[in-house]
Amino acid sequence: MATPITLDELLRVLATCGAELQEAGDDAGDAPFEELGLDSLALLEVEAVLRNGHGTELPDGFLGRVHTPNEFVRELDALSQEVS
Amino acid sequence: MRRRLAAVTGIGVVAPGGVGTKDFWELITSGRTATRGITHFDASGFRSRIAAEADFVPEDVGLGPYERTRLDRAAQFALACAREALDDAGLAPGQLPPERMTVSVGTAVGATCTLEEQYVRVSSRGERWAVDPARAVSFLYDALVPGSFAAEVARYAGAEGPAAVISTGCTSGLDAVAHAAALIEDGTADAAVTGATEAPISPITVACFDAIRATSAGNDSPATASRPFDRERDGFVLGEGAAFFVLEELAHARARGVVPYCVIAGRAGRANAFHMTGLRPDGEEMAEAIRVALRQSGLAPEAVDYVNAHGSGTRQNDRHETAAFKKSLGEHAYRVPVSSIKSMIGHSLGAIGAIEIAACALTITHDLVPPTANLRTPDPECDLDYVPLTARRRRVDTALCVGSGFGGFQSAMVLATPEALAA
Amino acid sequence: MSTSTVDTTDDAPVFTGIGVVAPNGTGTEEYWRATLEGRSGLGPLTGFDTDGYDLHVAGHVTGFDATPHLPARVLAETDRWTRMGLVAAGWALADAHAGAAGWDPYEVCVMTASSSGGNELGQREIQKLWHQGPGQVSVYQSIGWFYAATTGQASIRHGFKGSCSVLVAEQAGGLDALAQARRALREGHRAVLTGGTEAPLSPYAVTCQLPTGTLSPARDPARAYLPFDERAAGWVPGEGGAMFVLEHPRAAGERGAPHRYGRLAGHAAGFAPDGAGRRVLDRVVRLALDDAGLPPAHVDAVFADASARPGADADESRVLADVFGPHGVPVTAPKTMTGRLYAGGAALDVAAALLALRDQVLPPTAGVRRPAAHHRLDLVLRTRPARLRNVLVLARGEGGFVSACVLSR
Repeated sequence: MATPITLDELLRVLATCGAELQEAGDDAGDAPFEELGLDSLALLEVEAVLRNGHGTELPDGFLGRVHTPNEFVRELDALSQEVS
Repeated sequence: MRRRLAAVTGIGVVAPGGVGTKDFWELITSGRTATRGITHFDASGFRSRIAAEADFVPEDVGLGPYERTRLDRAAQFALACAREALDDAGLAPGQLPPERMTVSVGTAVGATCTLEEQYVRVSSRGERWAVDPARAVSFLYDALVPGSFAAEVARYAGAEGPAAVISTGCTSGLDAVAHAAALIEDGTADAAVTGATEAPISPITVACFDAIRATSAGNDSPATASRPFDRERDGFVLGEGAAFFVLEELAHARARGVVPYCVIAGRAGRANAFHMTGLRPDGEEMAEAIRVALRQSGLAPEAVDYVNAHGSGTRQNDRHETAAFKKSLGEHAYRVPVSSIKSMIGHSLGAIGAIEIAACALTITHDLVPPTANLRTPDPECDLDYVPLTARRRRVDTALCVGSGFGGFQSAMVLATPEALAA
Repeated sequence: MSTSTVDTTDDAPVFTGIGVVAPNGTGTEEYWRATLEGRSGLGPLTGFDTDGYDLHVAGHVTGFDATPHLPARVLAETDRWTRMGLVAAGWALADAHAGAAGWDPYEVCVMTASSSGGNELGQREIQKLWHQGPGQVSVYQSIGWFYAATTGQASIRHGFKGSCSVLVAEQAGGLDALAQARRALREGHRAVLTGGTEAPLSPYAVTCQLPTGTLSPARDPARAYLPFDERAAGWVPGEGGAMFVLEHPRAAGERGAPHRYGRLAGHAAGFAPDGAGRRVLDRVVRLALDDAGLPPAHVDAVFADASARPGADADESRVLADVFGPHGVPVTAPKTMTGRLYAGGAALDVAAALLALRDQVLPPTAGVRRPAAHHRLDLVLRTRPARLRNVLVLARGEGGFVSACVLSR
């Protein structure tokens, strides 16, 4: 089930998975995940946290398509609208 | 050529589909696979429900009730293999001078089965963080510290030289045997009982690989789920097993009138210093390990008659490894047969490197190259000769065995007949 | 009392950096100062509800916080044990001025001792699995619990691509890792990051240690760990350890390494089947001295294994009396102030021995008030200035592991 998420909610999840958000500050939304200190493992963890904590199941390949928090939010939003 | 060389004079194996060296060799040269739906526990809640399980009967290999209750499954594998290897070498435990015999045992995740079983008891299935020590069994410390595996083997073999567990993740098997060889080469020991063991098929291990999607989710067809180098590969199949060897300094073996399977001609480990699980596609550090091992052996890449690949069947590994072979072996990479026996017996983490050394020793002995099973749709990125489906007759005097693992470790070993080295 | 220089061959490696995380001091100098002042880091076992646990005293590194030292991603991926190792490693490398060394990545390797691995992280994950379900296990279980985690993370953090290793021999592993490092230097590496740490004080880890009967049941930290004492009743577990930079002596000199703490002059190891503890320890000690090219008379101090179990203490003191003569050499155990640190234990002893060599002073065996006479040891009960050229460090790991190393000025 792909439920939308706000940027703030996503940034909170990213922070619990090890993201370094302070430096990026207000630009965190457009920072590539790598720059925020999130590697492939951390992104898998983000996926798991969303599944377990938020009831959001990301479709296969989703993480390969999005590279910044804003892209993530937009793509998830688009997907959830497709379904409904 | 170095003055002292470690020669393989005895082999013992516990593998999925083949307990005992003979059955193991028969399986991996048949091209049949031993991967199946997990039976060791109820895996219905897990993403990957396939494993390569060993049908191991402790009583059949002489383990008594004390050992069966107290020893973790992996320790039982180790003892069974140590016994077979010593028998194979024509040695009784304690026959060789104890202080000149070293024991080196590889394992990545130690006594996982026992730790998990007992955790369930003392925590009331995860209810309590402050678990209940009153429920702890007496031998729990042996499970906490995997050094106990080396202690068990040393006690059995009558060894009193240096003993240790080498635990470098999925290269533990190669690294433990390399460690023993080093101690023989530098004169610390004249003989070794060395190898590696792993019995990781337990909920926590399956779950941890599920979390990173490293294992195959081909649950509908377990027999073909392990597909190294194939275009449709989707991860490794978790396995269990062990392989142990008797190593003797070559002159020492000859003095006993023993013809070794092969000698350890070269050995090297490097690290990619990049990521705990990720691999860069260029395979440079694995290539370097191979180059160093070859240099140590004094053999040129063209002398390699067979490559036993890590070939775990993950998308990234098989690509990384193919690049490493091309970098280190040059044009010869396209001519030499390369195969992955993980296609048949799965990936037993810390043990597999030792099991693959056994496969190389047997390949050299029998001049028969085991195939890569399930390789039906070639991947353009993996364009070497991986010996698909059927074993191949071929003169093999020198084999290269490689491994790669979490932590970024890359290991390589060159095994050869003494004559091939002297040539 | 030694008057001769040690017979080190050219290749006896030199320690050029030390980093320590210990219950009585975080950072090398803080640890050493506390140790020389006899300040113990033992205190009540804490961190969880210890009701029902027959262990009341432990060596905690109270207030250890790796946050200022490690990036968030590494913190998320690692157990406390690895974080201690990485922090100590960072300090050792800084101490050695590694940043200016100009090492090729392939020339440097990482070789640590491990014993129980990522206990707290592992227990957290396995609890989630059994209490909530398999899908709750995090991505970090596969890289944070296993015994190679510290070596792997250190290799990545510092870009070291040489031959890496992880040795498990319980408390003896730290000395064997040094021997492995020496082998790596002989085989062509230029430097090795080596040592070990341990974090065995989480509930399941303590639960696994209790059935051995080796842990002291005492409630008073001042009386809990008393090796060679009339009241010796087992040891106290602790967390922490030490990391080192070990280099080729000539290479260290050429690059201008700022410190030379001492040389690894000799090492030996063996395995003792049941009942053979004394015999094998005797052989290993003599082998280590042979390896260093030293007669017993040239050893100026012994840092004892000091397990505080009467039988094991007797084995150790008997061997020391046989090799060095009764009361023949000063013997000390600063681990009385930290507890037994398993994979970190022998490494911390080596750190103490190197600092003793540097400062020509022996730390005390704290808390021992009634040394049992039958041990016939010159036990160092108070900090003692001494002429130190060569020091012997002993370590025995549960299960039968016996190791010894000789450090020289």
